[in-house]
Amino acid sequence: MLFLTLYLVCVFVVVGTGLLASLSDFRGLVIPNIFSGIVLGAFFLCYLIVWLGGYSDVFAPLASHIIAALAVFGVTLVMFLLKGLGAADSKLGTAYALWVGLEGLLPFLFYMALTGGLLALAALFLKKFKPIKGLSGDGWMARVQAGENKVPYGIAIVIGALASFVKLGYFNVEVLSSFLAS
Amino acid sequence: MRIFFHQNIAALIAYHRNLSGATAIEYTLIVAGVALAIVATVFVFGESVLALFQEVQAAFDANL
Repeated sequence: MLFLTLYLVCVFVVVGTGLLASLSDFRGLVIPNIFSGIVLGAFFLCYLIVWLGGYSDVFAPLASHIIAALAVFGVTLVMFLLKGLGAADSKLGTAYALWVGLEGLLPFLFYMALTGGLLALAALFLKKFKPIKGLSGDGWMARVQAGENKVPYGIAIVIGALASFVKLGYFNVEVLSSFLAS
Repeated sequence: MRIFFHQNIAALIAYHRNLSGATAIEYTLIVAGVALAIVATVFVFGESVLALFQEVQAAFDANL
């Protein structure tokens, strides 16, 4: 029961942090480092809890998670240096790649790409037709309507990660009940 | 060598300080297009490629 509670706390913290990061990205195209830090730290805590409890089938081996994170970090760092991608998107993506591991990397990237594409289409629409009157400030929609070429990719990253979590079974009843079985 | 080192440190500091969650529209469209292309390829050609490999394997099994 203790391990199940701790596991659930970690998972809910990561989901909640993702929602806050998305909101922050939507409102100001900014994601504070602390959000990526929490997601990163929560993984190691959660992995430790699961390992201490002896539930080996929840996560893949640690190396799988770390390699996935390093791969995403490397690719997105290059994209940041080429000035196409915000560094906060890179950091948040790396943190969620750590959670999904190699096994969940493909669904993560696929659903992220799909959501990102929809956001890009919405951005093009807003930029061209400027349908919302009286928008001002730092919000994504206002800035796109003012002519900026931006997509809040943090939203796509979080949705991709959550879809991958579902695929990996982090919320599955069987996974949750396996904590109570022993 | 030293200049190279300094440039990398400066780039990492810039990376750490940059809080931008904004990505260029072009990048996101390219990524989405590549993802859809991969899925479409697997969907269209996946089974025939699988059948091809199974045929080759069957030929090996029969002749070895």
